[in-house]
Formats: sequence, structure tokens, C-alpha cells
Amino acid sequence: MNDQSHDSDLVGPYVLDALDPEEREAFDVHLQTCASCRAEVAELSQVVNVLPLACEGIEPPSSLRERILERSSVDWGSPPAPRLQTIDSPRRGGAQRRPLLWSLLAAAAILVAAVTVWNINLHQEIDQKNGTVALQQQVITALAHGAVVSRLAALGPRSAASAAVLQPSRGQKALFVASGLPRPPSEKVYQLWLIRGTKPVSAGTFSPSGYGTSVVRMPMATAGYTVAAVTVEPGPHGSRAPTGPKVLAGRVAG
Amino acid sequence: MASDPATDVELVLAIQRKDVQALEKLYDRHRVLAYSLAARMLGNPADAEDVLQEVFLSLWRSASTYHSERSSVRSWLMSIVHHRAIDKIRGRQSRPRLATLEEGMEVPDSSDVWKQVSDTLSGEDVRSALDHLPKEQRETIELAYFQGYTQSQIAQLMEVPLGTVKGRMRIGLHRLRSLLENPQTELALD
Repeated sequence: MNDQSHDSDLVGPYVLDALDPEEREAFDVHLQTCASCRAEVAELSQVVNVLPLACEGIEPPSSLRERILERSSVDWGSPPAPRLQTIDSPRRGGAQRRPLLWSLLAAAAILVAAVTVWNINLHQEIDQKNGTVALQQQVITALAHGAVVSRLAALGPRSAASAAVLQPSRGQKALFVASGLPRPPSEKVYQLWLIRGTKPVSAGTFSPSGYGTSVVRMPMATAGYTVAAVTVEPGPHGSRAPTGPKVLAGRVAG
Repeated sequence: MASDPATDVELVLAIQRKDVQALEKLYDRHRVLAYSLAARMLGNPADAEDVLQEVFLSLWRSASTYHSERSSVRSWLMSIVHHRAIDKIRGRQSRPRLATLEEGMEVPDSSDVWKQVSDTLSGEDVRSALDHLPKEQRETIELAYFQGYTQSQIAQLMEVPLGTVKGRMRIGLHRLRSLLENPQTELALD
């Protein structure tokens, strides 16, 4: 019997929750009538559910515990109160989310409120010299003084990402801004390149937490380069030349 | 003499009867593991806390979806935390997913070996087993489980066909299970 949904290789992504919603629903239906897939799902789910043990143990704040207990002691089944969105930690949204980057480029004034953001990876120190706020301020200043903006296109399914290279005037070092880039795979970083003819020159690496906007101060101006690109490279220092997949690319002016 | 601490299953049953202290004990037992997973996946404390709050409050409201013969409480909890974190990563409203495999379906019991093994696994055991997987299988699993990428995104990132990604996940997970059940034997075969 040729049941299209009986691609038993779907078991892997299913238990890892890596299927798209439609595929997952179709496989759910399939499971209702396929004992062998059910058995395999049960077996592999058990493995998946011990993967959290591999994480570095982090103790949650005691305030969380209090909140949970407080709410449950008064809650006997009513739905939760709607959670107010606060400005200071933007969530990675779905299709309705307006890319932060375009708010940023559209109006420098709005920037200050919108670019909050939390580019802080739990496992990384904040580099004070290239601190998030300081860099965002440079972006605002650059835009206010008429920096040349070169938009980069997102490649692949990462359509939520948007990015641009900003070339401030007077031959200053360029800035790279990206929004909606997911966290790079483990032990990998994103690396920025400026390309002169066919020769890519590294302009730095960065590792966003997956939320908010990344800003990178590049070590050079864009003058003489024609293209900017971002690839995924081995962390933490990247590569001498691009080796990994390209996630963003575009022509640069200036 | 102090009474034995309640088992996880007893705590869940007590939670079904609206015993707040049972919720407290269950939270205390599993909070670090749950939070560590959410924090690693989401990358910021506010979202990780949100997920934990949602999971435990929803547990409080409907602990009846747990079936003790199908998985350990810890296993069940981790799968809910993972689902919620994935929903957050992908920007979707949480959906009632607990109902799919868990309710009303015949599922074989875990093997006795696995039951014993999973109760005593340490972080080191799991990390070591992951390290012993072929690199592509490990990366595929990590990209999916910890980073929340879909199979299509992984295919793009790793520049391989979709079928390859699916196969790596399935084979990798089976291999991981063997490694965890029989560490000495499996390592000797490497």
C-alpha cells in the first residue's frame, strides 16, 4: 500500500519537532493507524527527552517559583491573563512581525525606542567596547548623518532576516546591521565578508542570540569593495576564506 | 521516621487533586533541567521564564494528560517544555499538542533496560554519547533539538538534500539510544 505519509524517515524530524505544522499534522494522522511508526516514535521520543541533560544546568530565579505558586494557588482553571508585551525584550515573531531593521532604517528617531535589544547570548560576555548600546548609537548617528545604506538579501528559507551595510561619510569604518537572524548552529558563528572582485576579506564574526538586532562595526570602509556577504563558519574565530553556506549577500555602494 | 518522598507520579496525581504543595515539589525537582533547556534554546532569561511559567501553570490546570505507562514524568515534562520553546522560536501561539500521541492510543511500554538507564543518566553520559555520534548526525540533531530549526532549514544550512537530513536524524537517534543503553559495548565497537 503506497501511503504517502508513510515516509518512515519522518519519524526522526517528528520526534525532534522539526516538521512544519502541516507535515506534523499529517504524520499525527498517520500515526493513528500505523503501529510500527508509533512504536518507533515512542522509542525515539524517549531518547529525545533525555537530551536536556546535556545542557549546562542553570538555576531559574526564585521569583519565577513564587510567580508560579502564587498563580496556581488562586487559579482553579481559568485561562491566563494576556501577557503584556514589553519593549525591552522583543520576541522573535512570525509573519506579522515587522522587521526591526526597517524600523531602524526608516526613522532614526524611532530607533532609540525600538532597538532595545537583547543581543546577549547567555554564554557570552558583553564586550564593553563594542557594547550593544554603543554600537546602536553609532548606527543612529550614521543614519542621521546620511550614511549610504546597502541592503543585503536573505538567502534560503531564512526570510525573516534583513540586513544592511551602512557606510558613514568621510571614509569611516562601515557598520553592518542585521535583524531576524537565528542563532548560528552550535560551535558556529556568522562571518561577514567584503568582496573585492573575487577576493573576500573578513570583516568580523558575530553570534546573535536569535532575538533582536545585531550590529557589527567593520574594520574597514566599503570603498573598493563591491559585494558584502555573511556565511556560517566554524566558531569562535571563523575562517580565512568563506567555507560555509551564505545566508545574506548584496552589492555595497560607497 | 520521615515518610519517603513522593514519587513523581504521586505528585502528578496530587496535582490533579489541586494540591499546590505537590506542584511546588514537582517544580523544585525538575526546575533546573526544564529551565536549562528553555534557556539554551531561547537564549534569554525572560523567554525561558515565560516557558516555564506556561508549562507549570498549564500542568496545574490539566495534569490529566499524563499517562504513567507511556513515559516518565520528567520525560513528559521535557517534551512539553521543548514544544513550548519551539513554538516561541517559530513565533506561533502555543497549541494544545499534548493530545496527539498521548491520548487514547496504544503505545508499547519502554523496555526495562531503558527505564533503568534513563533514571540514572547524567549530563556527562548524554554529552559523551552525543560526542560519539558521527558529526553530521550530531549536528543535525542539535540544530533541530536545541536550535529549533526545521528539517528544511537544516537541509539548507548543511547544504544536503532533505532526505539526508531525515535519515541522519533517525539513524542518529537510534544510535544515541544504543550508546546510552550500552556505553561500554558501543564505544568498543567504534
